[in-house]
Amino acid sequence: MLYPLNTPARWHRSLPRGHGIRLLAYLAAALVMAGITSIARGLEALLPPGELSLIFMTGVIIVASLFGPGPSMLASLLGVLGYNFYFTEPRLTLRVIQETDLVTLGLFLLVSIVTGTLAARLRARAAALHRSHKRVSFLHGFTRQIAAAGTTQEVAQAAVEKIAGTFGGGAALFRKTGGGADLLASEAWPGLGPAERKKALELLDHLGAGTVEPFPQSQMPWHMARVVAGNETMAALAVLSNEELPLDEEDRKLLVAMADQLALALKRTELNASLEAARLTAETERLRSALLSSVSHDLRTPLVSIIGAASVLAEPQLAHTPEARQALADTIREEGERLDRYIQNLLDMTRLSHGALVPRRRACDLSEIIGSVRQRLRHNLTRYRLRVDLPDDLPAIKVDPILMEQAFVNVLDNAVKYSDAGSEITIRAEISDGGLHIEVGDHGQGIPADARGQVFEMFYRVNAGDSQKAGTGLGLAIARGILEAHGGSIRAEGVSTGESGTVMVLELPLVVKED
Amino acid sequence: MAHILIVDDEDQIRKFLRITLEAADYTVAEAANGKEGITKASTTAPDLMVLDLGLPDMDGKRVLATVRENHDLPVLVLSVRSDEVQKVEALDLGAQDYVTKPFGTRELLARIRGLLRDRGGERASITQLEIRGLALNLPERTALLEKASISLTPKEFDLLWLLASYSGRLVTQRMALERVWGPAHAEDSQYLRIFIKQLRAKLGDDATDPTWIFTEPGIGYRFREG
Repeated sequence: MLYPLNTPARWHRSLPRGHGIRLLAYLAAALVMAGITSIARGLEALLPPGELSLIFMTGVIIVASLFGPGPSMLASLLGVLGYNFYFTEPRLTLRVIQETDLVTLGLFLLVSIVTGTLAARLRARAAALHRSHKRVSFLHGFTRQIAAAGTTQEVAQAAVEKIAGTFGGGAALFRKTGGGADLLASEAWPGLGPAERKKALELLDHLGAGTVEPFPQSQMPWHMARVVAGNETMAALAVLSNEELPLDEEDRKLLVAMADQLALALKRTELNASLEAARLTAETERLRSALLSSVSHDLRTPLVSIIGAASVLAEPQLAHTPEARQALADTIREEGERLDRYIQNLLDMTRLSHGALVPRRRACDLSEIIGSVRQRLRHNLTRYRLRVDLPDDLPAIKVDPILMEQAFVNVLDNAVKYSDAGSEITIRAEISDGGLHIEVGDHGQGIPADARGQVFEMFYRVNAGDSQKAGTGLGLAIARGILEAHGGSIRAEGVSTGESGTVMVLELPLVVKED
Repeated sequence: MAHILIVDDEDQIRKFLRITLEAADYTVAEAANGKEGITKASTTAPDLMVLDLGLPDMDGKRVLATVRENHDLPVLVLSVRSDEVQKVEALDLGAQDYVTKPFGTRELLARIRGLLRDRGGERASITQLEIRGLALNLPERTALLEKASISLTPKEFDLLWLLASYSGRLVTQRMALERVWGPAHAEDSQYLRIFIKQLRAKLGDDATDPTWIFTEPGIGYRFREG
């Protein structure tokens, strides 16, 4: 045996239906009729002989409702014989003297056959109803299970597990591809040989929706069903049933219903996936066009100044005073440094979006990081009053000093960019709720309340268009990425005093979770 | 005047470096790749090598390692900001200092001056230092700031002496820990952090806006140039 043997039990029946079981039913019918006969004999003294036939009729109905039409027929015959043997003259023989008795016996046989058939039919209908109820509730459970699965793979796996469990064998779900078939998921799946695989594909080609077909010329009890949603074939379902318990009509019905539910679930995940892909494409497209506009506009602007200043410097009659030359040289340097920061931002962005930003943490002093940020931005900061207010007892923080420096450079650069020369920029820090709370405040134009969340998105600008300040729209997104990589956060707030300005609030946990 | 070997594959950078260095009265040799750099480190007998880590033919770190095997030559590494790991590796391999591209000439010349000041083992014989109002006396182990004595613990003095004697030059965390606390403590950077903090307090130096001790995040410290 190549496939696992489960107990031959199934959703709507628990005993195999063989010849044995049918024989037992006939035996039981005979026993019931024997019992009925002895009851009739016990009541013989109390009842007239005509009424006794009713007792036999009762027996036939009992047998019919318990064991169906065949045994009921046997019971009818046995009833006629018993009644004839014990209760018609001459007694204890099967001979009949009176013609009226012959008529009674004939009528009895007719009535008992009709009643027995009706009872058996009723029984069959009740059983069918019961099975259909079981099938519906079973299907309901199946649907619920595969509906809970999120991806195509999960749906497929949940479905084959359940189907394999239900039919006591194995199950596999295929998706047809160009020349062959992809196995989506399988459970207790012995695999198909190349020949069987070919046959499976052929079968699938002519298999109608809503039918379950046995696998031709297979050693094992394979069945296949097409999983169809609308006009689209989503997959093919192969089911291996238990050898001792072949699929019956009920099983096929259930299998078809399961295949339909499975098709819907697969369709759903497929739609979800294509929606997600479309969203991703749109997002990528948006980022790409933003990047292009950033490169063409924001990277070129400093170059215009650099090339212009350098070409003026190259003409001695244009830049004739030392002050003019100094000013031009300063322009070149400042714009070059700006370009460098843009490029650093673009690089950091790529690292962030690849998830390659793993902080190399070590104990650092916030004051030293700020000192180093100041050094890097010294040319920009000369025109501003920077006030730093840190508590003396600030503990060391475990961060990546280089990344954290970059985050502060970006936040300060942003503050400088949007505030007037000569205005004050403050950095304050305090310990609160076991974390480090840092505020970088400026008195610039401020960020409208409804844009305060968006400024941390890549390429977002509060003022779009050509009038916007030079910048890549990446600085704050990178700052947020760095803070988040450290388990911290950053948000923008307005200043409380009613003046214009922005406060960037940076939160960093003091206790680092080791991972 | 000193002779400097520039190893960089970018023509424009070599041109700009040559103009800058010759204007500062250095003589210059150029190499456009690692192989040429290694050869010229032997043939032109430079006093200092300026080495770009990103070379077309071989890893700049390999050039560094090969040159350091044969010559006791100070090496100034040119690195880019996103290459922090490379930078640290180069320093561990024996490069003395680095500048981050893009850099200004003032910064570059200061680094070169700092490295060349070292030649001939003068440093070992120095017993007194004076940097902008800070006077250190090694035999007496005293420190005067603007003629006022500052009291330092022995370790604080050792650290200050180390930083000051390398003024303008990079002192890596490892180097400071090994020299002041001994090789066994090369990884105990929290010692260093605390002592730097104490030194800053005694020098009246504000870490957020330093004038004496400048932090190179994640790498080390640089004392103000004389």
